[in-house]
Amino acid sequence: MLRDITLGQYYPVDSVLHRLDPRTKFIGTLLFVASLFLFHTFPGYGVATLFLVSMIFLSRVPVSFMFKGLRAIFVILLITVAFNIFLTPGRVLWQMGAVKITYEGLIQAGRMAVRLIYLVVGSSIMTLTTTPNQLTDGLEDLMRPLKVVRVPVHEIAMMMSIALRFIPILMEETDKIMKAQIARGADFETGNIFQRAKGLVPLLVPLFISAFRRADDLAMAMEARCYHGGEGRTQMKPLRYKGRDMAAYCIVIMYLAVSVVFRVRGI
Amino acid sequence: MGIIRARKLGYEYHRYDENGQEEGATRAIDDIDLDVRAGQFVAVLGHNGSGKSTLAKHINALLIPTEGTLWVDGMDTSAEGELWRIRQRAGMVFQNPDNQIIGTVVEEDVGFGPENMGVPTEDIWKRVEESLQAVGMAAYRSHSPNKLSGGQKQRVAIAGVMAMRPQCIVLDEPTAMLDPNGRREVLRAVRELNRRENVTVILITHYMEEVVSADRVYVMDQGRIVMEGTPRELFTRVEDLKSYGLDVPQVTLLAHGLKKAGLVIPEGILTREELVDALCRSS
Amino acid sequence: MSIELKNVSYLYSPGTAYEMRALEDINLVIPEHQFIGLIGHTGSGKSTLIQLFNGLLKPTGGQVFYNGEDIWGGDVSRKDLRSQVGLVFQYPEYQLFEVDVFKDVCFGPRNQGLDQEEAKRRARAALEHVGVPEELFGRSPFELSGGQKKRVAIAGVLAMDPRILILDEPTAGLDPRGRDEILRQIRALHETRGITIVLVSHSMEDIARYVQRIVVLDRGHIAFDDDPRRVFSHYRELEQMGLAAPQITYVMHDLRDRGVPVDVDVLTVEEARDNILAVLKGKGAGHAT
Repeated sequence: MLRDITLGQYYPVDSVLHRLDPRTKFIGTLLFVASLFLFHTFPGYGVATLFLVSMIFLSRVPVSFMFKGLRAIFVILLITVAFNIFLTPGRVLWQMGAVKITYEGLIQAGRMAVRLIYLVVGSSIMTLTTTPNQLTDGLEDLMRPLKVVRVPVHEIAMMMSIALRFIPILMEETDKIMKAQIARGADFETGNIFQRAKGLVPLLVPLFISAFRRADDLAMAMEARCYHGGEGRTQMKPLRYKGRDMAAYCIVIMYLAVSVVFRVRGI
Repeated sequence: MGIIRARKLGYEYHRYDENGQEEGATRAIDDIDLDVRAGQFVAVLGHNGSGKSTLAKHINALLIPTEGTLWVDGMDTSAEGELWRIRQRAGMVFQNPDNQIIGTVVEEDVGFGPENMGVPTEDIWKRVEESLQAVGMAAYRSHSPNKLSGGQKQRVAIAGVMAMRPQCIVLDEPTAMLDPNGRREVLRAVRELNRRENVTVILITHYMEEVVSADRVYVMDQGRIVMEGTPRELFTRVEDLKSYGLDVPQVTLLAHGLKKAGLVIPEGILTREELVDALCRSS
Repeated sequence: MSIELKNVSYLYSPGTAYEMRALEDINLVIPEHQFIGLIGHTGSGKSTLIQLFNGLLKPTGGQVFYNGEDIWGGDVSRKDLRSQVGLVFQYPEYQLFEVDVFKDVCFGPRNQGLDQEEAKRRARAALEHVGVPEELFGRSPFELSGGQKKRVAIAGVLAMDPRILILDEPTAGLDPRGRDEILRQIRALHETRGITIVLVSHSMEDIARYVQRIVVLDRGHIAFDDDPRRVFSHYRELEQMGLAAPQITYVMHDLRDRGVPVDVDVLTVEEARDNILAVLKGKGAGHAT
């Protein structure tokens, strides 16, 4: 059932955010992240919160999905907060031997936690409302200027989308190979690190051989369908900005302007 | 003039040992003459390693003959400049359904060929729609290929080739990895395309029951064409077919066994209805 | 040495949006020395079922017993169980990994903790049993043909000396010659070593020819569990499950429907031929007198 896992956690519903151009969402996310570092006061974070909550609401994705991404960074979050609480110099609120908590430390920790959490939730909104394919297309288009400096933009995008297609297949295959070897008495779970690394050989060899074989087959299938790089290629789904994208850009830029004003005014 | 024509076609590849020294040469196909007329349904039968896949790859110019010549719609496949035109004229479907689907969404995969050919966007959508309709997969256009059955994936692959508007489609063991239902599904789609869209079909397989409705059948063994004719002509030669390692359908085997035992039944029984009719007449 | 499934059910991803019922309330006994065919449409639960036999999957409901002991009951070593209940997956590519054929077959016995000598002895015997010639022992398993790979894969499990051998579509992708050879060798294993065989296959013709008992799975349930003749007599129901009886069954039924009194229970081409000849000649003789 590993095939059911969609990479990039796309959540299929129809919403305004889902219908936006991936480039709009990508740039919007970047600007939102920038605003998180511009804001540094509580009223500022209030504005960011308002913006984020409206986006969550507009995306029509259940809130629980938004916070799933946080689990992955939980440890980092904890360490960051701890560092800030205990290591920021300033007005001491509580002390026990060398360990002390300062007022500034608490503020700083709170600020870092908010930034990290909003950053993760903000980018989750993008990945939850954009299929990996759209994201690849969007990135390809945004990176287009890099072609001038000979960055193989089309090839990178093509590789990314092929990887997206094959990761679930290879995951399922990993599962099957493991089972086939466990049926022969292989052990992937016990032993020290060296024994475990050695134990992976019966898994990795068949997996790599299969991956190479697939790559070979796929290359041939692509050639048979006249693939010869990005030259002279047209697109079935070319990206075109629509009215709603312009509106979205306006909103995001206004939001960013607010954060700049807050920063300049020191609010 | 035929759409696919081969004269004295041969392909030899060299094997090298670890030091790059030549160990020897293997002749995968040898002295093949082939004439396929536009609109025909041609089948190539042969056991694993008989050279049938090598032949298939020549038609799409994935392999270039080392001897003889192959023409696709009058174009010599060894001529460098014609490569993309040849691949557009003669599309190819491969055995493993997973390893030939490039797109992460069905419709995007079908559009891949036309995109490569530089077809304008609106036209791509039209072609994708028509091709998906033709193989009966239009309802799945926005699905992920990973969630389709084997037979459905192969139909998507066929649609991907059809969207390039080829004159001829070569299917290299498209059913070998499918279950019986998937096999039926794919064959039905292929027969429909041949009949309705008048696409020339070259079906490579080792299942004899798949070639019953072909116009012409070639049997390959050790890189050569060893038998040739209509299905009915070939199906009378049960002993020969068996000696080439082919899977003779039970109905044909039974008809053959009964005939050998002295029963009077017509030559070249292809289907169970024919056999039952014949037996009822003789009883 | 029997496997017994009691009220077994299996759910994939229980409690999530992707929850899917693969098996429901399966009761099944696999006794010693039987040759069993397991058939079912893709998605009927066959692959799930065979993975329950050797404890690769844990049932979400019900119990699996091996020799009367619940395999998930606590003090049963599933590693030992897996050497008693051998499972060969469909694609040999999923298990071949060693530098040569012989080493690859030794992998199983070595995992059982056998010493070098015993492992080698077992590997040699297993390879001989499935008809892999000695000159291939030193070859890389990746250079072999499809049929040879399949044999080496079977030998790799056989070398663990299982009492029950489960084979998932051992003939898929093979040509007729390779297929008949493998099936004959599997039958020989059953006969000479007395191993219980569970053969998963899509080919009714193969199943009809070799097995003593057929278990038909349909959407997670056991639809039929009987001897082949009786199972194939339900050919119309089989069709509704996306399966089919051997072609021969259809011919015989058609003949019977058209008034030719043939035996509809025959399973092979040879039996059918003899039966038709006998019936037609009998009739002919009747006319003569």
